[in-house]
Amino acid sequence: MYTNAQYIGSPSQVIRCDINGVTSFVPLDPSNTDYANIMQLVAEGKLTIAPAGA
Amino acid sequence: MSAGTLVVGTINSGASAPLVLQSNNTTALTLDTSQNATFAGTAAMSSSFKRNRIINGNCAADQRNAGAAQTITAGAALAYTVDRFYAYCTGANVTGQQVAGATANQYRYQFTGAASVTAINFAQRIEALNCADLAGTTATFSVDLANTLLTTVTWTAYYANTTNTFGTLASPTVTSISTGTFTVSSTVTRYNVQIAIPSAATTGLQIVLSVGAQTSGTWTIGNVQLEAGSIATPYERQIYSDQLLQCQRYFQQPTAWTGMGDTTTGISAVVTLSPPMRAAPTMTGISGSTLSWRSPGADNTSTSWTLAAVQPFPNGAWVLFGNLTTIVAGSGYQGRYLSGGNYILNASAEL
Repeated sequence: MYTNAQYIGSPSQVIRCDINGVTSFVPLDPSNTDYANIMQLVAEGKLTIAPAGA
Repeated sequence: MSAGTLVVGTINSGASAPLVLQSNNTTALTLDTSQNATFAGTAAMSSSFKRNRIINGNCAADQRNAGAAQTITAGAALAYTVDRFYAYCTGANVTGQQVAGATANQYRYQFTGAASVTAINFAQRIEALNCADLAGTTATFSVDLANTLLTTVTWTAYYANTTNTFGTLASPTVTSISTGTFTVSSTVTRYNVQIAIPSAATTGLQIVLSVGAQTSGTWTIGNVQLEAGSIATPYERQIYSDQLLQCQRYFQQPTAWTGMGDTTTGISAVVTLSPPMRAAPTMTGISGSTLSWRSPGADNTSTSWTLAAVQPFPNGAWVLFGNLTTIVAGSGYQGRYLSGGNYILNASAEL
């Protein structure tokens, strides 16, 4: 349940998103399960990550 | 008699006498009259001590809930429960909670059924570093189970398609190894099964226990163990502090931080994560918690603080606490840990 995803910072090192309704900060680390799940959703066209500052 | 092979079903030392086995004319193994074994040399087992690949199998560590009940929301993403274990359910919400066990087993995990529930699952994902050696061998899974309503508990073993990546409930990226059932009763009983782990399963394992329509009653689980070999050995107990450290590789609630005023409403701080986590963790602020800090000459608290930004690393994080008042940019601030266990942050590097 990942929603409201947005890159944070410049250069971006983290994605801020809601995970099950809780604001969470997900590092851009392929070993991080949430990051892997987010990227899978993006690849499936089920989630879009807004750019930083948007 | 010298060389040769003795084939015999039983060797009995007789009454009140130890049984002694020698090699090279020297006593190698003595079995005393109380069946205690004494080795003259080193006992080299096919699997080592610290053989349980399941972390927190006895459900003693419960950082997230500290023994409180937790609602598992039907149809939602998997929810972590006692440390390292997660749950999910369908049909209706269920309640899960760390509960007291019998004398020798201080804790177990227990689900309480509810009307319309169609399934409950309780599982753990095992990092490849801790189970890759099982690939191509037989492993034994053991667990204590009881159910006051249902008589069947299903177990299923999977391996990750790519290292430590198991996907989501909606889109799992795992391969099924095998599945089976335990016939259970309302009395806690220990069950075991041997699992042939495929040679491809070097990428991490997932063991799932599940029940069907738990519309009432309770389902109790404890002393979960996965070990090399085909023998179900007794549950391997660990010193609690060791067990907690193992859990904190995957989840912890950091408390120590130091920082400086970033603006009049924010503190830029460095948080220590110890032990280092499996990966850079996902971090969240704990809703309703009290942020407490020491500024020169005064203690301060805020219950309306926000987590404005985070940059996590496996052994620490930079964070920006926001929505504060009377902060002086450039001044130093130190986090205070309030008595009673007031955690403010969750750091998760679960699989």
